[in-house]
Amino acid sequence: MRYYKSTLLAFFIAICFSATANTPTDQREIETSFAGTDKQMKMESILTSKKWICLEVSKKKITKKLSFDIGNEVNFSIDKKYSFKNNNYDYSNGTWKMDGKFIYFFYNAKGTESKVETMKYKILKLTTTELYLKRMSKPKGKLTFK
Amino acid sequence: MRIVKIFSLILSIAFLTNCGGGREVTRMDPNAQKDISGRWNDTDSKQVADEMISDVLSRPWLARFTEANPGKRPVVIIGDVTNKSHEHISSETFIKDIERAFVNSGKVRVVENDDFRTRIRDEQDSQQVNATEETKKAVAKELGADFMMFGTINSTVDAYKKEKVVAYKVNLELADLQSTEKVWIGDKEIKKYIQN
Repeated sequence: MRYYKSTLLAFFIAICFSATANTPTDQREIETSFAGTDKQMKMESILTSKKWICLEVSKKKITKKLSFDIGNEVNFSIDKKYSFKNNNYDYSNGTWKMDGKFIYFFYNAKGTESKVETMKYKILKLTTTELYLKRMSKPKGKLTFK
Repeated sequence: MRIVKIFSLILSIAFLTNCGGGREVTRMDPNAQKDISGRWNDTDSKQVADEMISDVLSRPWLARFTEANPGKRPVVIIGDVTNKSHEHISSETFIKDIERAFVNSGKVRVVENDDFRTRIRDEQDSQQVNATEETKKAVAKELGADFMMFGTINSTVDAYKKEKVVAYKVNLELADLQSTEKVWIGDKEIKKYIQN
């Protein structure tokens, strides 16, 4: 009976310690919850699983100003690098970063200068077969990849 | 005795069935990622090619050349890609992809490498004797390259018991043949975790 009581006490102390160990203490720790990072990891693995081909561009401005059109290819790699090819065989290459529902592209500016530029897109839908992106910077528009 | 005969018959049928139907072959999408042994495979080669192509064709060396030489496209020769890794890796698979992208882009001209140039020159020499005057190709009219591409493939292996981490690094460089200046350096890293 004496051993039973001490074992029970030790059990409760262990539970109390484990509860305090799991309690988030930092604000950043709360924001990047396990569920959130897990979802982002799943999204990233879908993105890197195949080469995406653009099948729809919603605004003509995007096509005219950025030469972005149906048939363009974008490839996301696991090391957070991306490669893009349009129909004029213009290539773009840089890094990508996902932040929740947004995806950022960092790439070298065209021409003789070496300057890094950024592009921001919102992920409207991402499944293993479809990727819908909304361009946040001007010219705005939606893009469909499959 | 009869039971023994039936039992041996069943055993022999089972053995023959196993021997006959051991292998199954199915066609698959060439772009599908399938890893079996963990060694370098077609997916790695394609990843290297994709990244190197978009990198080399989007960097400033190309714009600088066309700005300095209006109306002229740079001529590139693909040299050796030395395999210094622990595996047999055929660099030709991604080198051909890079050559194809150069030619198809219409922005870069590609000339044959050392091996093929020797064969072409042999054929030109042969034409001087055997071909008709109207159709034979003149010697010493080759296109001189402006840039040369070469590179290395390296790997590191970290293994303990049943776990293994293999890291490959492919480096490609483009050098100006006149000034020997390196105008572009591209690298691609591939890291694999293999568990037996």
